[in-house]
Amino acid sequence: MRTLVEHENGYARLRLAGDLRIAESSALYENLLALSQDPSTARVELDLSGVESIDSAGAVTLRLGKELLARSGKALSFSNLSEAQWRVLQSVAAAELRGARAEPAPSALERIGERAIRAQTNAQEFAAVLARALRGAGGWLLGKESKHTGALIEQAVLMGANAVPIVTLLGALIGVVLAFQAAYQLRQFGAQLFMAEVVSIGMVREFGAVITAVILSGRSGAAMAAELGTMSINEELDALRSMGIDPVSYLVPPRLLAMSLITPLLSMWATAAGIAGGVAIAGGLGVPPIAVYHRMTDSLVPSDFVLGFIKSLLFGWIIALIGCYMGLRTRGGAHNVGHNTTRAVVVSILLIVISDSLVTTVWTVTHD
Amino acid sequence: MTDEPILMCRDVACGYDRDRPVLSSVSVAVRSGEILTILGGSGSGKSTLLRTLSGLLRPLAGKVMLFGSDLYAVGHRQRAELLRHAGMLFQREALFGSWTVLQNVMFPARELTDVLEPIARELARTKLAQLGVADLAARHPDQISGGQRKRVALARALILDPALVFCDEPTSGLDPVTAQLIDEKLLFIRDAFQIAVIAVTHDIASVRRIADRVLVLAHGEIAASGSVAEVENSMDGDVYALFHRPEEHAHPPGEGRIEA
Repeated sequence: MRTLVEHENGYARLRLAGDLRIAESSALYENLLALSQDPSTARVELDLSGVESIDSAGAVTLRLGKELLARSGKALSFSNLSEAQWRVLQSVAAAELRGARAEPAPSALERIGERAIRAQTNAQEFAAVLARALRGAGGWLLGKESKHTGALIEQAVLMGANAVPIVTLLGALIGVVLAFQAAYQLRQFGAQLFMAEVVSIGMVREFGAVITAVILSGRSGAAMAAELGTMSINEELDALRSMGIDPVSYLVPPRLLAMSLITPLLSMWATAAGIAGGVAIAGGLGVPPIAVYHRMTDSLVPSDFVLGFIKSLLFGWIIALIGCYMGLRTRGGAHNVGHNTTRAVVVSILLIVISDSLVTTVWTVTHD
Repeated sequence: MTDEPILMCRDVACGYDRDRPVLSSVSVAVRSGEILTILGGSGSGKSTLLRTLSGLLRPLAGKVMLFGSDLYAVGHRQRAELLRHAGMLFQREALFGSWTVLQNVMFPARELTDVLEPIARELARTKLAQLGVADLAARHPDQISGGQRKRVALARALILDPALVFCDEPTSGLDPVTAQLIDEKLLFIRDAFQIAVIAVTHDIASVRRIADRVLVLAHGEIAASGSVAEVENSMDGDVYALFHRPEEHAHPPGEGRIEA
């Protein structure tokens, strides 16, 4: 498009020639914007006699230009409009845009209020899911749901057995890292042998459960949130409700019980792998592995295992409940599935670390 | 309506398996300002044909000529350029769930052109307004109804002023009133902008409302083609069955049915 601008006593005339389509509309918009800011221009005329074709973007640009100039107190008029051009301009007439403007953004106070209400609603919803899940799990434990044992086994295999390789690898590597760090520090005092206590007690009381929980929250918690979220947006949960089946009581207990079963087992396995890793690396650090092994067995007491077990059970419940809750509350489309899956993992890990701190503190104060 | 076809194909075979084409010997020509509806029972190949015509599925045999160029013989860049002048309304709308309605409609203008943001925004609002859904601009697709989503998806298909719009089941899953509204919007874009429309449907009422020409698919080929009146009176058993199903006789014309 070619544009010829003529100025005369506060009057600007733009002669347009060629096509006025989406590719040319930005240049015209910038021309009109400049004229709207030019103090010497009071009135603008657009001569469209040379314009061969106008598309919607071109017509919208003409309307935007008119609004721009009007806001600056200037008038824009069109001349030599053909019938076809007039029809295109009419098709994008401002009169059709009733209600088209964006709604005003809420104020800061409104946003705070909305968040508070949302937080309260979320807490109520979670409490309701928790109550129904525990009631459902109680029914399972009392044998009322024996016909659904297959679902529990399926979940346990899916979340537990398939996670064994990654849990083994990470558990062993944590044991190796612990042994390295402990041996390096203790060497300064000639006490490398005490690395055995660091590895064994650290793995049994802390890292076995935590590392397993972190893996499971990223693996199984995310899978639960994504699966239930997809079921929710596909109206599968509504299908269950329509059949008189409570989705929470039906879907959450097998996952909760499976996690209650596999998290302690996997934690023990990760602990064993970590201790094996620590013992294996001891030789390389100048400490006889057999001596390390004996110190480990001597230093561990039953309460260490009890603490590790309590933590792993608690972490399993957190992962299952948060994963299921985030999945069940998913609404809308695919993006919400992804969003809630991410939230399930983040919230689970956050709660795992917080609860780990609390349990460790309480246990240390009351037992050690 | 001009005489030069916007889209033309001759003796096209389409499907997913070369040994078992879903459709064969299909010839179609669509001109500016014309609505062609493709009708057929479930599994007759309607959507497969639409995917072939719209550049999404390479034909097993034959050529698809869009704006005078062989759609599947040109390079990737040229094909993209050709398809820029055609819009697509998907059966399930395919709106991006994480964006607002306005962002969805603006998307092609933002990505495919260098147009300034204020123009793209206003253009999107204008298209939404033309389809009567301007007040939904700030909402997300999951916050609006099925009929509203169809209109938003149509606004997105129309934002670059295409010469041709492909519609896959534009009225499926909609109540009769909303279905009629969508049909009216298709008639509006044909009449106001001379846009050609190729619509796949199994909705006979919709065909009667909007079609300039009808193509009926059965048994892997075109069973009938022509105006609605011509096809409706076809002696082909499958075509006759499509237009004269029991529910079509349940109400005499104009009674118990919303007329366009």
